[in-house]
This record gives sequence, structure tokens and C-alpha cells, in this order.
Amino acid sequence: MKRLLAIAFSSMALAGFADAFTVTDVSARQRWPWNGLVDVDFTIAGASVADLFKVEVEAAYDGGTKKLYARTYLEEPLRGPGFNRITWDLAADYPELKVDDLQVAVTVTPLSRASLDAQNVYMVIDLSSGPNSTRYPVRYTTTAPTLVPTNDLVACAADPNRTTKLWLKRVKANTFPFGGTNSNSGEGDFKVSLSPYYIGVFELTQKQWALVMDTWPSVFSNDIYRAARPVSNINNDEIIGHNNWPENRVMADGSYVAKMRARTGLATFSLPTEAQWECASRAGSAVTTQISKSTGRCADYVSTSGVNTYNEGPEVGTALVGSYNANAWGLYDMFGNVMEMCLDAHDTVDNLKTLYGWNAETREPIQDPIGPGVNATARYHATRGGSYGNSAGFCASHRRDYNSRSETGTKRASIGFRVAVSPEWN
Amino acid sequence: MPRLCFTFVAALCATAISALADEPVTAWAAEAIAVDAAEELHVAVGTATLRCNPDWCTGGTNVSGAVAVLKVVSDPGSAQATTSAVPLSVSTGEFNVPYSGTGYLRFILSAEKEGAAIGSLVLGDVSFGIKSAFTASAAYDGRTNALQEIANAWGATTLRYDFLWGENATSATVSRICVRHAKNGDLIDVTTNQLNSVDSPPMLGEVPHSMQNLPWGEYRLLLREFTADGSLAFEQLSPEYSLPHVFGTYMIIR
Repeated sequence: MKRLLAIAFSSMALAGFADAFTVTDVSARQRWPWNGLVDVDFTIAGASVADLFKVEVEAAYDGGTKKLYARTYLEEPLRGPGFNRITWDLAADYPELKVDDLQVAVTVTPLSRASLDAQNVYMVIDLSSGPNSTRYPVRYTTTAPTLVPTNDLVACAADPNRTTKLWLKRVKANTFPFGGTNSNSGEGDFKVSLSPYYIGVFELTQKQWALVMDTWPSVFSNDIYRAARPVSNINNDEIIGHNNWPENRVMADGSYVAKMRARTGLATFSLPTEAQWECASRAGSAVTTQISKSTGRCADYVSTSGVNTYNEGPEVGTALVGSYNANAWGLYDMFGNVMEMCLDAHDTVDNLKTLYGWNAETREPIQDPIGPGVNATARYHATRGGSYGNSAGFCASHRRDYNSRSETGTKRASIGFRVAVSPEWN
Repeated sequence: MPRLCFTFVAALCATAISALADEPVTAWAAEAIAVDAAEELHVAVGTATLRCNPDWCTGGTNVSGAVAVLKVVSDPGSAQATTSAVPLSVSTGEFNVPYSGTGYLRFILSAEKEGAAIGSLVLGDVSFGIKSAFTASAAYDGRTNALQEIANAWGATTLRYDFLWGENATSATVSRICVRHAKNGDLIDVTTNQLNSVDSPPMLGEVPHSMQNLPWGEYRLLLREFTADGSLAFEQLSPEYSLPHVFGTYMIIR
């Protein structure tokens, strides 16, 4: 009987399609009468961040007797939960069409999680409408961003994929060893399992901060390059607005995360937890990954001619994002550039094991840990990945650090962050 | 007991199947829309007072009972574009609409009779308070016959125009309007300098247009066309352009 039950449960898990969902609030509008673009708005409700949908548009006119099928879209027709817009190039498909009673429909088909796991999936948030905008459009694609190479520094600093567009990559469900040491390859301090989530392809840049917050807080402010350098010199108050995660999961009005949530509709947009950061850093490797050597400074290992390698002179400091090699999952600058702040607080391994109920005998992975909040033993926010100024030993996936100034809200020129969109927290 | 377990497993599976929802879902919009995929490009706009006439819509000329409908598109060229009717936008003859917009706007003039569209659309782009972009080369848009400004910022060149739009126009003036000084960025009283006047067709004209002795600032160009009795037949205002301290820069205003 146990076997039968096990088969039943595993069948459910393997099926791996989206939860029950609905499609509501469909409306259509021709964008401009002279170019034939039709915006179709709709909402997908009841789905998880882990889900993705293929969208098709059809239409009918003459009382429904004549049918049209969209073949040309402005963007890849993939969409996620929440408010969505897909733009149909009507003029490309039906160049002479002129009717007064066009009924438009969308058909939304969930993609299996297995198929999503088998390919690269990106979420792209368009910030170009700036700090006064009420909505940043979100789209999805299976094509990686095309990047301006960092050997053309001025062009790289204006690269829209580093400035006006915020790219996140989907990370499939994963089990990995958390923490540990260089020598305990494959073991870690304990095991963690994560549900699918999205994490920034780059560290958040100064332009991507300014387009939301309308401020340029970073110390490294040379205005020729600053747009594509990572934002830093910001504190937790500005990022999430309070120091009370995870008890308070509503980010305070006016904070970066609160504004992004309101303008994207992504209710779990935030920073990665420490576990999510480490999973992304390991990129599927059980053995800790690290910058190539264990001597010198992180910034000695910039892979390309980033503007601000750690040399003497006025340009000491951060490099343009993407100056350090991408890891196996295509995530840049996981080691070096700025130290990356995480959502949760830093605590000792023993305290984390107690908090999560780690069983040393069964070694069952801990599912989706969201970390401790700031408390008597976990006083500071966790940071990961090392910065331009750290020794290379900081630049390793297992290495756990913290921002010792986070308690007071003091800022550091060497600490920034990357963003994440998590599954719904329980 | 085994039967109970089987029932439990079956119930689990049924729950799973209904919750998986891997079937496509189709939903229709509640309201039908009108679409027109055919491209129509014309330009005809006024100044701060928009002037409209159904006669300007080709095919709508001299149609008894035709009315003009004016709409404004905010933020054209983006997904946030919205179209709305301008208040007091329907008239059986030429009419003026006070309008002070912000940003980059596009106007749509159409002619209708008894609720049905007649003729072709007339479209116009106007920017309020936005500097036009500079470009490395100059060009003339012959499709639209729009007011074009082709100016070497520090050398003499010509302004070309066409008063195709002015029905029965026999003369035209081209004026340069200084919108503000760039020195302090503050608005000043608008000053207008008439550059040239042209009498009688041919329609295509050229105006010598030196900008060499002008101060820094934001400028616009105004084309006005008049009928033989001196009444205004048509007017068109260019977007703002900047006169910068950059040698040899060319600019184009569409």
C-alpha cells in the first residue's frame, strides 16, 4: 500500500503543470490607427511564479463568422501570472483589414515545469518609463540577453540590457549543500531544497536604481560609466524599508522593493535569500565554486577590461557589470565587484540548524528556508560573493559573510545587491 | 481497509488532475473594437490653438454634413499610449480647440458623416516642452510634406516647405519663434521673427535660414498659409529644436 501511495504522489509531482488558473479581464485596443499594433491585456490568476504560459491571440468579426489568427507578435508570446499585455502586429498579418466589430480572445496554455527546466527562461522588466511610472512591463523570453562587450566601455555603459532592462533568470527546483568549507566538497553544513525562482543576471546597476528611486547614491559616480556600474552605498532602509524580515514581509512604502512590487505586480520581488544566492552561485555544482585563485584580491580576476579594476588611481572600485565571468548558469559577477546583500540575516550554522529543524541523521533537505530575521544572535544582514576590495578567499559560493554596519543602517561603497523573484512564501 | 485505501488514492489522483489544469484556457474580450491596419500618414496641426476642419481629410472635402472629430494620443510610440477625444472636438466647419498638452502628442483628425468615417485620417505630431533630437544628417520627408527644418546650426541653409495643406492658399509665411532662452532655462515672452513670405504657387518653397547670429535657446518654426482674401488657410508648428553651442551639428525635425 505504501508503494501505491508513493506512486500516486510521485505521479502528481512528475506531472508538474501549473496550478489551476483563470484568465480574466481581457481587453484589446489598437495602439495607433496607422500602424496596426493591437495591445491585448489580460490577467492570469491563481498561478505561481514558477509557472509560465504560452499565449495565442485570435479574433473574429462579422458577427463571429470570420476568424483571424495572430502570427506576428512584438515579443515572444510567453507570459507569467498577474497582469499581462501582448502586442499583436495586426498590420503585418492582415495589412488591409478595417473592421468595426473585432472580437479578440487570448488562449493561455501552461508550459510544463519539466519543459521550463530544460531551457533557459528569462524574465525582463522594462524600467525605461522611469521613476514617475506606475507600471514597468514584464515579459519572458527563452533568448539570453545580447550584451555589449566590456572592451567598449562607453557603449557598454549605455547597454540597455544593463541599464533600462532588468534581466532575471529562472532557476529550476534544486537541492544543494549549503555553506561548509572548501575541503568538505559536496557536504556543506546542511542540505537545502529550493522551489523555482528568478534571480538577477547582473548585480543591480546604478541606472536601474535611479530609474526607480530617482537618486544616484553610489560612491563610484563617474558619469561616463556609472549607469552600468553596480549600485552600492545604499542601506536596508532604502532597499526594503525596514529591518524586520521575515516577520514583516510587506516592504515599506518608498523603498526600492516596494516600488518594484507595485509597478510590476510581482508580489514576491525582493532580494535573494542567502540560500537562493548560494544555489545560484553554485550553478548546479555540489563542490563549492570560487574565483579562479585563492590569492590576491577579487578584482585581480576581472575577466575583461572593466573600467574599474582594483588598480591605483581615480577609478578604483567597481567594474561595469558583466566584467567578471558568467558562471555555468549565465549569471555574471557572482564573485567580486560588489558584495551582495541578502534578504535574511546572518546567523551561525548551529543556530540555523536549530531554526530550520535540521535532522543530522536523516539529512533531509530543508525546504525553501527564508532565513532568520535580525535578532540577538543574527544582528547583521547576510552578504555574499566578495567585493572588488576583498581578498579572493571571499569569492567562493560557500563563503558566508555579513554587513557589520547593517544594524545601524550605515552604508558601504562595496556592498550592493541583485534582485530575485521568489515563489510565494508560506 | 484495502478498499478504503484505494478510494483514498483515487481521490488523491482526482484532486491532482483537477488542480493541474494543464489544458489551455481561452477568454474573450468583453467588448469589440474597431481596427484599421492601413497606414495613413499626413500631418496637419495648429499651434497652441488646434485648428481643425473636415475638409482637410482627403475624401471628406465638401461633403455636406461632414463633421470633424479630433482625438489626441498621449505618449505615442509606446505601449502606454492612450487615445482620447479632445473636448469640443466635433464641428461641421473649421474650428479652434484650445489645448495645452505636455510631452509628445499625436493628433488625429477624422471626418465623419452620420457617425461613419469618411475620407482619410489627418495626423500630426506636436511636442510640448520637449527638445527635438539631434542627428548627424539632415533629411526631408517627402511623404508627409511636413514642415521640415534642415539647418546647419552655424551656417546658412534653407528651410523647405510645401503648402499642399492649405486649400486655396495663395501665399505663405514662415516664422521662427523663440520659445525660451537657454541661458537660464526660464520661459520668456514668446518672440516671433518672420523669416520670409511667399506669394502664389508653386507650392514648394525655400527660405534662406541662417541661424548664425541667434542666441542659445529653444525655437520652433511656424508655417502659415493664406487665401487670396488674407484669411488663414492653414498653419503648422514644428516641434521645438535647440540651438546649441556645437559647431557643425545638423538637426532634423519631423
